[in-house]
Amino acid sequence: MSSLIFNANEAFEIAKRIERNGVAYYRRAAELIGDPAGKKLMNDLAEMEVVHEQVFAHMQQKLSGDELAETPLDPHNDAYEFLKGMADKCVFDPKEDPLEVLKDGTDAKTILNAAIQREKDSIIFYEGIKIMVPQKFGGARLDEIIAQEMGHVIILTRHLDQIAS
Amino acid sequence: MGLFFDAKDIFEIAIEIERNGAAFYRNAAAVMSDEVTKRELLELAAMEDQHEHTFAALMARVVGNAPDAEWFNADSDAAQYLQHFASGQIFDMRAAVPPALAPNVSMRDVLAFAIQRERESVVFYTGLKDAVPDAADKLRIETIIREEMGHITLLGRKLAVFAQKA
Repeated sequence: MSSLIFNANEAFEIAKRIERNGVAYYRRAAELIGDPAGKKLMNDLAEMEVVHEQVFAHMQQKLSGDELAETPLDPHNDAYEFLKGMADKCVFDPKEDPLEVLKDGTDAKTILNAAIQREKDSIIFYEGIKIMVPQKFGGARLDEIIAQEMGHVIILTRHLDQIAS
Repeated sequence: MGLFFDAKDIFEIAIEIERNGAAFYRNAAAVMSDEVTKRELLELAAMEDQHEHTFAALMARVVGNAPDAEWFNADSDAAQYLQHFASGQIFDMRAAVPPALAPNVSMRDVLAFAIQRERESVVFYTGLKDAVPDAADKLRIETIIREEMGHITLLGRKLAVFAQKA
């Protein structure tokens, strides 16, 4: 990905991909987990990620060309550099196959741990977007999504605890 | 989760994360032969020292001024989220000398572990920022988050260089 074409629009493209990968991950996880409560949890999380993708698409539509260039919250391009580093696979690969870890016979603990890691990665990425994108274009909505992803970490951890006990 | 951490514990964990982060970077610098990398790791250590001081000051002001019950809702999502990290169940950010710093450790392993530490600290501080009530304190934590993101950027770039060489 060239630095010349990486901008807020591209960041939203990656955010949408993260959410789509999340949906695919949770739906496949729901197929693999035999426990009905675990299956329902995975399906519920998938539905929430569907909504997140829609929110990102909406925020992206609101950004015009001039507005994309207007990043007053990031005067030193810190967030830009951070997001670009992530997009360039230095930190994680948002283009990865979300189903790679989910093979027949994968146990619930592995599924949940990988899901928690995915949620954390999305929180980190969205924190970067929040700095890069002016508040008036949806900073509050980003806070909501981040809070919801934190909620997913809690739910997944609780389920992991239940399995461990 | 079986354990309960109050607001003071949470700040102490943040302080410990920074202290151990600084120790990690200094230990990593000690085993690096490349002078540029060594200096950069020591600079990261110095920044973690500053973060530790910031969290200590925040703890004194926030926790010292009001009982937890007045601002720290242990049942809130933010508090529950922090509990998860405080438990060290998924990744123990408080590990001062991780296996990655065994003798003859590769630069790549050091960088990968450092990035993981920084990522975990960003998500932990995101929860902490949510939990503190004062806007100015939120901004202070936000600044630290940005700096940790800067560390991830720097470390990620270095890792990419090593990956290309491999």
